[in-house]
Amino acid sequence: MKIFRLAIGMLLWATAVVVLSADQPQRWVSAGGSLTEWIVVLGGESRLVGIDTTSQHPESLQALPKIGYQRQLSAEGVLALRPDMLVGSEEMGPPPVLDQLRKAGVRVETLSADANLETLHSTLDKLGAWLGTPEDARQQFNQYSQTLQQLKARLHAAQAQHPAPGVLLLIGGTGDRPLVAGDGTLGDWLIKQAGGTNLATQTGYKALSSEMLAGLDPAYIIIADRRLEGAAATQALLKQNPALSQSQAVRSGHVLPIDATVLVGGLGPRLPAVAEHLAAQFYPQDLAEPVAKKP
Amino acid sequence: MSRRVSPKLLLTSLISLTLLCVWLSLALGPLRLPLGETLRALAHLSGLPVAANDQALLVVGQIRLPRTLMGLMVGAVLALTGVAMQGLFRNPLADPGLIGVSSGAALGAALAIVGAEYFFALPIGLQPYLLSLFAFMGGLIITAMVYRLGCREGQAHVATMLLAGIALTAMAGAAIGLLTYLADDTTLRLLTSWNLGSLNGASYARLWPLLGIGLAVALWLPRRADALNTLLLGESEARHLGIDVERLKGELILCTALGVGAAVAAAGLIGFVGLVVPHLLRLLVGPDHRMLLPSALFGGASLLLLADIIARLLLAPAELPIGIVTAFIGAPFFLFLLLRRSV
Amino acid sequence: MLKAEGLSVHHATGWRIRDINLELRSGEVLGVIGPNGAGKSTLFGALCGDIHPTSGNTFLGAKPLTAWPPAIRALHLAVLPQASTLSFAFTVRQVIRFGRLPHATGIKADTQIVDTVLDLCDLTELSQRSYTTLSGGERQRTHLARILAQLWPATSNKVLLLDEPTSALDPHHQHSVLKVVRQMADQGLAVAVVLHDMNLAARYCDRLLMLKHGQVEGLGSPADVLRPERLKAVFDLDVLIQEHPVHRHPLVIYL
Repeated sequence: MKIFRLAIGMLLWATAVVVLSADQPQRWVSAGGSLTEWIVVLGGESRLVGIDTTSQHPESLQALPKIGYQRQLSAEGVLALRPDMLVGSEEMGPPPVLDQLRKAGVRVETLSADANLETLHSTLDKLGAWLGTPEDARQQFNQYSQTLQQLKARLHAAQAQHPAPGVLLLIGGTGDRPLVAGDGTLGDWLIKQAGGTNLATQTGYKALSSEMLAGLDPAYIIIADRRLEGAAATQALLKQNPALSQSQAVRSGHVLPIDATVLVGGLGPRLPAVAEHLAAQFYPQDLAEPVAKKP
Repeated sequence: MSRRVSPKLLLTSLISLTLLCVWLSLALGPLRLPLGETLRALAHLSGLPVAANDQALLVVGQIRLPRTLMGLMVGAVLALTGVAMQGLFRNPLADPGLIGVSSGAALGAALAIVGAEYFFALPIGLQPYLLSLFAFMGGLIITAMVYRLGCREGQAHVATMLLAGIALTAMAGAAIGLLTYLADDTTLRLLTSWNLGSLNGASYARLWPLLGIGLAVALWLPRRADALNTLLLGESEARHLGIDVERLKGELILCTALGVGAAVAAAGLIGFVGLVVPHLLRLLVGPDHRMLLPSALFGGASLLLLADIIARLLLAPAELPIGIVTAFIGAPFFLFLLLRRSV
Repeated sequence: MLKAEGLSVHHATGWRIRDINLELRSGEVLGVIGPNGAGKSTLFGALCGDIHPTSGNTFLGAKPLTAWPPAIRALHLAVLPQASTLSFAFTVRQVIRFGRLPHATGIKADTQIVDTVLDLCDLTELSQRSYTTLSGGERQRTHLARILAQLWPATSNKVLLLDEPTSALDPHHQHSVLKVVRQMADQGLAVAVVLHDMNLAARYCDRLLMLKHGQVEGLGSPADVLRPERLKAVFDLDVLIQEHPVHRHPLVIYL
């Protein structure tokens, strides 16, 4: 009987393992900054066996093998990590490599990195299902959209008193030739969520001349520097673009450095807090610094 | 010239080196396969009744084999056409880029990479093929223009072609600059890495056209070894030795445009091989094309395979662009030979 | 064997050669003399097909030069240009062997012929040297040997055009080289050679062609062409002409 019970037990365990591994990939490679962050938030950090170069947050992941840039993955390099699952944005490639990985039995999932809540909703649903934490994922999304809803409501009230400030978001490396976030970018989405008006009208990230930058005369400049943080980023920016020093933003000390890694990929988990922080700066009288921690 | 290596010995060593590189390229990769697995997979792939494990079959058959074949062809074609161009321009410092094929291909690639985001909304799966096609066509078109500009009264003037090549390369460079300016961050990154070349993503679909063109070039050019030799004496001298010089020049340019075009379309721009492999082998076997062309074929193939093995292993699981590796291996070796010879 | 009919070449600066009629016969050595810029090289260029004449025609045998397929023509016509540049390190033997490319006589026969011309041009000891390490005179002899190999053996249906083959040679080699050329002509070869040294021309040539401003100033035996008044008019030289005490050809003594 004992043997019988043991056999039943083993059978059940084996089935469970099979079901579990069929439904929920155990070894993950993530090629996309915000996706990686979400996987960590949803408790999947231990399943990650490799990440791409755009996955820079949180710091604890940096010991993992790096599979290179998301658009230039190496089939064998990824296979060497023996993953069950590769997730990334639509930009992930090159396509022949993805085909080879699929043939090798790796589940390749591409998730949109578009900056809107519907996309985030479906992304989180899928990640939750694959990680076996659908409830957690649903909760995360609800909280995310709630935070943004509440912020919107408060901004609505504030905007009745004060007009929306003109804002530019610059991405740069040590201040040199910064790229300005235009229409359709995550930076643009962030400015709008924080209640600002994006003064840049082009689509995508573009380098503008410092004359153009000064001419737009933003009331606030958000600077996301890849290498420098905080005041150092501000200083580097002004040093490389002296024309900016006459703008409203600089004269009234409204240059706001943010962590550049929040802008990689789609809507990441840290964005609502960043938006709240920025909103508090845009409307100092109406919105006190939120409870959420400073990014 | 007693310091020259015996031709037979050199050719034998180069062929052995190539075979060794082929083996290493099939056996080494970020994914460690036991030796037995690799051998079984190879035996299975060559039709022997040997069972092999699925993963080894996939890695060896679908990833490493096309990649190895591609590396062989790209290296051989670049080195062979390098020899052809040095013969055509009678200058040991000429390289296939002189007649505009590389810059044309780069322009084609830039158009495809940047244009794909702006103008035509193609399914993303088709983009690599579009890139190859554009690169190939770009190389052919610019080379044809250079050739046309160099032709006067039915004769192709090599010096005029050289200058036309420089001018068109500059123009292509400007156009690429404009496209780069229009490109966004990610596109730019793609463009940069294309300019450094890579055999990553080699697949049979991309291999066949290269294999066809490469084999044609590799079979055709050595047949013209004697004619190339006489061309080094001068065009008039070659003509008086019975060579149809205009036809020969046309053939050399066509071979180079097609060969380099196909190589670049498959693997991006890989500099250095076309310039240095012929030069280096000329130091070893002398300038006789009957020896130089076969040596360049195997020498180019070996260098490229070796560079690719390093490119895929050094930063594994990520990859290094191969152009960086070819330059890092080739340049010091070349300098070493140069200094040793001049003493 | 080689015939020019009304050969004229016009360039931007004017007529290089004008209305030249000439017949080069089998077995003769024709010397071409004339001051710098007289059109000697242009004439050679038009005779061998390197320059397209503005008007007139060149015939090799019975057919116009242009009607010959290049590979066949190379069996009958060889040209030594005034200057050849070769910046690749071929050995002397390799360069000379290029002269055998138009032929399909096999390695054994070719090797024998190359050995013979190496000896004739006094190059045997240099045969394994790299061309790029040779002196100017050695290079010139190497190219000459290549041309001789191309037309070997000398027969009456072959033409040799030599543009200043002795310009870089020492006196010993000037004579030895021209003696070889003379011998080949005696075997039936038709030879035209540009020379600056009139005494060399008088000694080795059967006929001389004197050019001035692209036109024929004299054509005939050395004794007919080398006249003091003509040399004064063409070269602005004051000379005495005497008979060579040993070889009996005209001897030009510069005053």
